[in-house]
Amino acid sequence: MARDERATFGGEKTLLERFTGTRGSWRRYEVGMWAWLLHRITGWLLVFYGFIHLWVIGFAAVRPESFDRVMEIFSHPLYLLLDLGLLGVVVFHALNGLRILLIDLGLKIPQKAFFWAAFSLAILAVGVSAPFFFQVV
Amino acid sequence: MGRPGFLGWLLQRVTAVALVFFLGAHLGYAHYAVEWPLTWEDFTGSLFLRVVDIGILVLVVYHALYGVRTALLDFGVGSRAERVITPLLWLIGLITIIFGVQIFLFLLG
Repeated sequence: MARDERATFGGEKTLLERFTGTRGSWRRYEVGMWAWLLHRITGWLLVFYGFIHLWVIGFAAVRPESFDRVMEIFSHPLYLLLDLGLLGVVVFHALNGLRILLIDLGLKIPQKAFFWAAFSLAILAVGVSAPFFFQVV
Repeated sequence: MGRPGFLGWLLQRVTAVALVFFLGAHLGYAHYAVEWPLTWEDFTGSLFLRVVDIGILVLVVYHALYGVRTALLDFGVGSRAERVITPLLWLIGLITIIFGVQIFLFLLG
């Protein structure tokens, strides 16, 4: 974030700013800031998903019948759509995380290009997987 | 280990790289290589995969809760809250791992 922006937006942070670790309007952000914001948002999503995933499957796994029933419910197209979204979130977070690692290691990578690569590959992964998720092919 | 926080930072990177491979494998054997809907039998057959699951669980819990800690510190919670957050997240993490491990052991019968 630009340093002048931090100076412009004084006072208390809003709840959204606190959750995303940001300050001020997102419209003026540069690519690097969007990468950071998306990494934080996808990170929160994955934390919540991970706990729900473990709890739902954990409690369903007490009996074979309840396990099979829960898996049947999660085969509904609505959940498959959510799964597809999850795939995009995971792929973006993983690839952008790799980008962050390379930057942290001090490698001179084209940071913006790597962000767009992570973003595009996440969308590509969703597009390519969609027919398989919905068993069209 | 140099300055404080370096070990945490390093472990966050190590678990990140490990998770790329482990989660890739998890998606493969639990979602792509099996027919939907999944059944109980898919998850009770293999000792090896349940051991891999436990590995993933530990990696995910560490990575996720360290991420939560980073985000909460960005919240600007103050140093008093910080002293509470870290042990609290360790507690949540340990409970989660124990919960998960006993599920995996139960699945093995």
